[in-house]
Amino acid sequence: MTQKTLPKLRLLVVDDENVVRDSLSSWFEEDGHTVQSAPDAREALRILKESPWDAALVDIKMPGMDGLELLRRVREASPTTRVIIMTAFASVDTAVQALKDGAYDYVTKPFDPEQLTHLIRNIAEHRDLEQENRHLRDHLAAVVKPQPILGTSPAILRACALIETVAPTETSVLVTGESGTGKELVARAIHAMSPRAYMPLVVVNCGALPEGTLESELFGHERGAFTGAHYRHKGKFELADGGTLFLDEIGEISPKLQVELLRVIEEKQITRLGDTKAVRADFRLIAATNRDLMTEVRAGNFREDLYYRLNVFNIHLPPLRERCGDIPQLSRALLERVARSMNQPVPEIDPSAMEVMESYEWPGNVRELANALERALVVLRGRHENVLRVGDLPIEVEKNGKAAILNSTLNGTTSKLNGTQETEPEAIEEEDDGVTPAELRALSEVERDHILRVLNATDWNISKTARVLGVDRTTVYNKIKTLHLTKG
Amino acid sequence: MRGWTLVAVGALPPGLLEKAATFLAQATSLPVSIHPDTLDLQGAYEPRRAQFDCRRLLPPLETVAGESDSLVLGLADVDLYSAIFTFVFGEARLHGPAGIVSIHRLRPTLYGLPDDPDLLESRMRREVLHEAGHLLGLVHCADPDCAMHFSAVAEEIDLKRDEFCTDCRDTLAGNGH
Repeated sequence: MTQKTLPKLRLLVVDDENVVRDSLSSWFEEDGHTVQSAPDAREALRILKESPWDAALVDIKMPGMDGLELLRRVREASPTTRVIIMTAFASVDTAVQALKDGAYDYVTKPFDPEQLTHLIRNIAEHRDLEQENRHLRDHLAAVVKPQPILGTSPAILRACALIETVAPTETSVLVTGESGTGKELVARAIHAMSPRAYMPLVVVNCGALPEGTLESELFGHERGAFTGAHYRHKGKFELADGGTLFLDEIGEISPKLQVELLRVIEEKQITRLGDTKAVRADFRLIAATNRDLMTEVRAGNFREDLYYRLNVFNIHLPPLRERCGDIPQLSRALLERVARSMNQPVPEIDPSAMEVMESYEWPGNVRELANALERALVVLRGRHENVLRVGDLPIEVEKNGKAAILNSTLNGTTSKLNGTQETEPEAIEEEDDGVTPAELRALSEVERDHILRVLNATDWNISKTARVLGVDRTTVYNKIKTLHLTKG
Repeated sequence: MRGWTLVAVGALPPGLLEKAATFLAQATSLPVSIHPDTLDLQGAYEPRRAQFDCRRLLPPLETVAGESDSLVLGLADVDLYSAIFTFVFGEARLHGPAGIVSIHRLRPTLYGLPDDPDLLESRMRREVLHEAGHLLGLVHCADPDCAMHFSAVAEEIDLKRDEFCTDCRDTLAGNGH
């Protein structure tokens, strides 16, 4: 155990009077500070050059370079060092000049013990706050740093330029694009580059929650607002106060919620369920959808006024098939990220594998690409190899030269999910030209069966199902709803 | 382990030096003796400031320390100043052989308050222990209750206890005291 010492400073005493240097040094040492002294400005500058000092106490009158000139030099050479000017003769002019030149403070000799103690404590507090501020900023910068949006295709470059343009503003943004194109990534980038970056980014997936739950999630509720509301609960609007609210799958919200959302956007106030008092809600809104909202408006499914409120600034993300040229860069970056998370070396990608990836349609877009690469990495690890080949991908090149997703992906993955030994993916059977009409089925039927199979195989675990299918959880929920899939 | 020698620096209220000796012996568990001679103050007087210069009082106390092979604390009843401060309650260098404490600015009467001998003695005990702590190698403590906490004004002394905090005691034990 050691003494509870006061915050330690590194102090430099610059005075041509030996007794002042010694007395100040010994007094500072009694406070536990590190002290060094210099008899003139030249020696002080030499010491300052060697290591950083929290503060320099500089006598204004010294032979050679005087204290005010030294102050100016210190400000240039060591801007973080606070300079306190000491003088035996207080004069308003010199005090004003010293402070104008950037002195931290000005004290007269002999010092009032209380004044000097306060001054040193203030410097310590100031220094600690600056350090804390710097650490927090570094920490936050690392936390809020968004994943880069990769690609050099014109469509992606345009999207990036739009993000940079809109980010510093308060404008509402509507991000559109197919599932898996990276809409949330865009929202995170906008938030991170905005003045609200150090405040929360609250993400709500509107498609993943039933209407009642979503309303309570968004608006919050008071205790006793409904059965089961045992506690007061802050809603996402309130949680996003000062920051950004990202409403994903906005096209899925009910007409009732559309009205309520419109009111919140217009009034910037919310009322918790079961409460009568309105609370101010200061958030920037970013919404995203994979639907064509204008079509929904025309069909009467989405409020036109809300649409225009949301779509002040539109950023459209192209599907991956429209930017195949980005696949090499994307796949390398994704592979590197996954390999790092799996503590595995980053494999090379065989040129033929890259060719297959570039020719594949990727209906699940970047998310599907990421899942395919993760799966390939697992296969590679099992083989103890470090080159990703065509066979490692859940894709096969068809006779017509097009790449298609392997049917066996599911088998391989579900075996893994069930805890049985992983099986190598089987090749999809070649299309049988002699197939009977009875065996021909509509795509929706195949889709329905396939999703149901995966759901059953994963015991209706939505996350696992989404991973296997290469789609997001919302899509799985939507499919369950639209295809009327039921458990059991 | 060396003990303490207390020296009267100029005239003191009767019995005060003895009270300081009893307290210091109890607080530091070290033997305390009182020097038979009183140190003359006159050479330390600075008429321009109407104060006494610590720098001129410490060398004779250090001589006593060398002669007695003990740590020396002088006790005075005059207004002390140092090379850098307008006034001091006391002065002692870290690990030094001698220090000094004055009760002049510890008196409530100096601040227009009624005389209070108990308060004066209580402040004296804390300042004697504070300077003794420096001689034993203790720096200022962040604990406002601890005798080693720095007090810039008399009222701050009243917030302290006349003993070291646990951490300071541990530091002393670690230093072999």
